[in-house]
Amino acid sequence: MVQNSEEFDRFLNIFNQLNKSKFEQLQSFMDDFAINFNLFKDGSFLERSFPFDMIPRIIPKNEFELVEKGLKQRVHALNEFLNDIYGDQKIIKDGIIPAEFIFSSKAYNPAFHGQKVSKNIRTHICGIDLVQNSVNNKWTILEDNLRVPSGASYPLSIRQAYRKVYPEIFEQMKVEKIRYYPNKLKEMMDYVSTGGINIVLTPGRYNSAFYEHAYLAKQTGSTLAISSDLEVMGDKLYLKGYNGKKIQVGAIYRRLDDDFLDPLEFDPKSLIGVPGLINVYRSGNVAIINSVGNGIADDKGIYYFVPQMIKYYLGEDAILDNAPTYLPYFPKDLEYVLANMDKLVIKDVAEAGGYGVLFGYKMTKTEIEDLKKIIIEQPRRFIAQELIEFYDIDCLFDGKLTPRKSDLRCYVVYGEEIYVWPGGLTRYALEEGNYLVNSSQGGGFKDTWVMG
Amino acid sequence: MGNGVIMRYLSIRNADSLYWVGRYLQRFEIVAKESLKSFDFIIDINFDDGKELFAKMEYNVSYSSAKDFLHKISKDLDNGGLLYNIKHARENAIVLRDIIDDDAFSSINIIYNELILSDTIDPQKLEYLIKELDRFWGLVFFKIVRGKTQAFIEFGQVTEAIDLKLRLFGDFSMILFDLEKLNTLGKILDKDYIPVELRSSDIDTFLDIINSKISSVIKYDS
Repeated sequence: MVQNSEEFDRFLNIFNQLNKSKFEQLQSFMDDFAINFNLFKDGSFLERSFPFDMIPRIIPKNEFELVEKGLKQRVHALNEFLNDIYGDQKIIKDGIIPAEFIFSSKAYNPAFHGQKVSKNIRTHICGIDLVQNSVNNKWTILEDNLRVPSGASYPLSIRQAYRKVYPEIFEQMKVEKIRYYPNKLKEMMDYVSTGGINIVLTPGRYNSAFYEHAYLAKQTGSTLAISSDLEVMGDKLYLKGYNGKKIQVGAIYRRLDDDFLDPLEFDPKSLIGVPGLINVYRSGNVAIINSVGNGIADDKGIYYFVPQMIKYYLGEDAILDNAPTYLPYFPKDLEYVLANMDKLVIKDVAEAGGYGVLFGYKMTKTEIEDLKKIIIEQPRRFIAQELIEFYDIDCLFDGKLTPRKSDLRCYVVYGEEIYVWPGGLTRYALEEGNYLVNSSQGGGFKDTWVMG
Repeated sequence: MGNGVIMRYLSIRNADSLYWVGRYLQRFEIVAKESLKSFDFIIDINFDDGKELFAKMEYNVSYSSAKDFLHKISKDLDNGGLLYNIKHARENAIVLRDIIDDDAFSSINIIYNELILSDTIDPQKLEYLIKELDRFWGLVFFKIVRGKTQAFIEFGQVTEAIDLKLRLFGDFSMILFDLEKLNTLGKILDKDYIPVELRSSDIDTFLDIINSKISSVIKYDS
């Protein structure tokens, strides 16, 4: 089912009168400027522009106000949770989350217990995935991404092109400005900086989202660096200038996972990390954005507990719902999951990017039986969710509006205050009926217009 | 430094890539322009003109007609042809996307896409690509405020111009202006830069000196 609104109808009225021959200018913009989300397929690197749809997702103002409020609340609680879990661990002592559930997670890193972070902020940049439930119209949280969420640069880039090609739409519709996102990022980086320049650390040119790394570095006035550009001397981190000067780094917006950050601390085979970086971090001489060890908070199993975290840390009820979720770790939930496998979506908590997601209704009896055995053996490894009926979104295929599954990634920046970006990355599945919209699964994107 | 002020610093890698963007694009431009001249000669003046041109750059090229010559030179990805040069310029530009102007980057990308996607490259198409390159030079150099980013690209550009002019024409008088420019840029980039003087008449020795000057500007070992 596709949800429409007065605002969307208004957009369509304007859109239908547009000069369609200019559509190609938007695609040319993507190609000429190589606005890419690259893929690795069959062991090969494929450089490709990110597929996009020119019909935006339109969110009425009142709807987004609730989303904004809910996301601020959620990210605030998640930050409190991380400070607690790497600190006093009161939430465990008070019995809200079972200790075993935390300590058995691969994403919890005990080596960072007691590690202080600049300004007590750990969830600097969060990408929260939502869908709009078609039964009750409520926006529902699907997933929290508190490690290295990507995607913000794509709506920023396409909006810029859209405004040039079709300024008349923006003259007639009051759409919230999204251009201030990089300013908010910069303010946040400056706020948590321990003194020195700001860096965006990229794995390099062959990373899927390299375009985004370069874009955000440019827009925030940061220096884009790969590991060999940086050097640890003593307990400080420096950029190696071309003229032999060493420039101290105060904040590092890393675009690589914890495991690759520092070969002396994590995976010794990592060639994209900076040897000694974690020692600098431990000494309090650099802010790492997002903080090390955040994975415990966006572990799919921990997701289940977020509404309880909100109550525990903030004394409030969660404004935004979670998708109905079951934890096979709890015997009662295990019983339900095993009895209803064909109706549920089973997710491996250690996976991301749409990997490790199994739809019960697509599985054969043998596959279900095999999976049951694994779940019984490793209940902590999985969660199960009801398949939510959420609205499809209209996409333009061959000149016709066609419904597709989609989600919305909202971005929240936590600096001196918590800022919810009035827009987001709408991802959609290219194939009909496909529920996986992730960019790494070949999905496309569209801009998200929050009405002012 | 942090807290409210935007300052962008050039790393060793940035400076090196800027230099190579300048070199590969300058090589692309000279090869493209000289190939257009050869195209004209091959038609009915000297069929071997293309072979002779590329032999000076130590590339072997074989062709059956003027059109075939232009096509092969344009599509050559391995031996210093146009696609080879623009591909390497683009690779260097990609890692500089946070530094160089978006429109300037798009010029390189457009040339690359045209060369890689076109079935045939004719003189008109090549002239169009040279104009696109002119747009790049314009976007990079004609800025009100110029900085070291432009200076490194220009340093690479003028190094390549000296290199190719001497290889192709063997005439030192053709590089006097370029040499002066190289030394001026060297001083801008490094206060301790020692200017190159035109003393040797041996081209290879002189080119060794010119091609190693970047190592005195970028402190690779620091």
